Amino acid sequence: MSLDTELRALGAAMEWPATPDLAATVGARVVGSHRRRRVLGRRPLAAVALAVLVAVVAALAVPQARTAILRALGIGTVRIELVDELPPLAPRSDLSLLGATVTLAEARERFPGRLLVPDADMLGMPDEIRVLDAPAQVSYVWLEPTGVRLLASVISGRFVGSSFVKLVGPETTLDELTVDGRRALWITGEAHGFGLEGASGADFEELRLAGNALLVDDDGTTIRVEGDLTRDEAIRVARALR
Amino acid sequence: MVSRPPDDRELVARAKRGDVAAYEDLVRAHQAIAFRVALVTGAGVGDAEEAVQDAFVKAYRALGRFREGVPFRPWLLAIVANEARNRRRSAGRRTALVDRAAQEPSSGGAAPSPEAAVLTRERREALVSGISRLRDDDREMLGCRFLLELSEEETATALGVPRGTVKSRTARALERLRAELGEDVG
Repeated sequence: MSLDTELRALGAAMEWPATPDLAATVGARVVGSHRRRRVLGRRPLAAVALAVLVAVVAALAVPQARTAILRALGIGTVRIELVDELPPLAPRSDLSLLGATVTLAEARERFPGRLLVPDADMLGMPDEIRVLDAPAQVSYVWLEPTGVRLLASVISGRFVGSSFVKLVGPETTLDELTVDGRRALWITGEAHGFGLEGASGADFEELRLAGNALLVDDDGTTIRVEGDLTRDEAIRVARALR
Repeated sequence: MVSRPPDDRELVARAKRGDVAAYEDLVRAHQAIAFRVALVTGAGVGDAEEAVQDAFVKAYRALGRFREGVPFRPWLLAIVANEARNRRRSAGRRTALVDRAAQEPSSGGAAPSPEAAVLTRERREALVSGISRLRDDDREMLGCRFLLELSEEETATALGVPRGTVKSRTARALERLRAELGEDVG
């Protein structure tokens, strides 16, 4: 008997615990419920101090012209590579790609230099904090029922022999801007890969996000914000990392 | 003439319009598989019940974003798996995969089911022990594909991986299980 057949037989023979009847309980919980305010709802975002945003938008709108310009484009320690055709990207919802989950205290300890942290009053507490060590990256993750709703990462400017690469295809739009004097890049359109490039080449991952991303160079430290956000919302999220 | 029971699509449409009774019907229809997915994802029995309950509530609140024409069950199971994983992580442990699987079926003196009779108790114990030593993602994959007999497509959605990945990860998980069982992996 093959192993998979044995496993099917095991499943069929299992003494599963009795399934609790949850219908009434769930029904009671959802009666009259309203959709919960999003952790990153418009109200808390609107409460972000409305300092004048100096956004000099330099849209690089001509697809044919972008290749030459963007091949050399970098934001902080992240290199942006425009390619004619994106390689197959494996959509991943496995958050272990962002490293192990840690407490904020552990994240501060492992991140070289001062760690930017989200202002909880504006963004709510992240559901998870994850850390990678080389290059150092701390990711704040806000979840929704089906996966990641918002990802905000802080990447150290310290070069350690490998770096992050953002791979974008011809259907992706990139706008250069400045956010409070900091150079930034707003990426929208076609899904794009974000990966780590080391000696053995790039290993790309793509979290299942809407495809919009903001990268901000904060004096060498790179802020990366991804999620189903408008540009202004993404900017507010980046500015709420302090 | 017997009227046919409403299907998921109809129940979801009614639930979206605020019909809680329709949503309760969806809960009844899917709570058993949801509970088992929570168990194979590593939640203990108590945590699994909470995870499934919370998943149904979150799914209800997310119905506005649920795309028409998409099967409800795998979408729900993805939410359940997320909830169960979160509990497993916060508990800092994973429960042995349904230890009961290794126990003698409680047939109450009746003859064991044909499925139970296929495997000896020793073999069941070896399989459960081997699965319990696997990595979380391997255990989840084998649990969904074989113990629960979800289709590849449902497994892909529930575990949040591409369908092609289900095939390759299943093959690798089986290899690793063979190694755990001390069997020739070729």
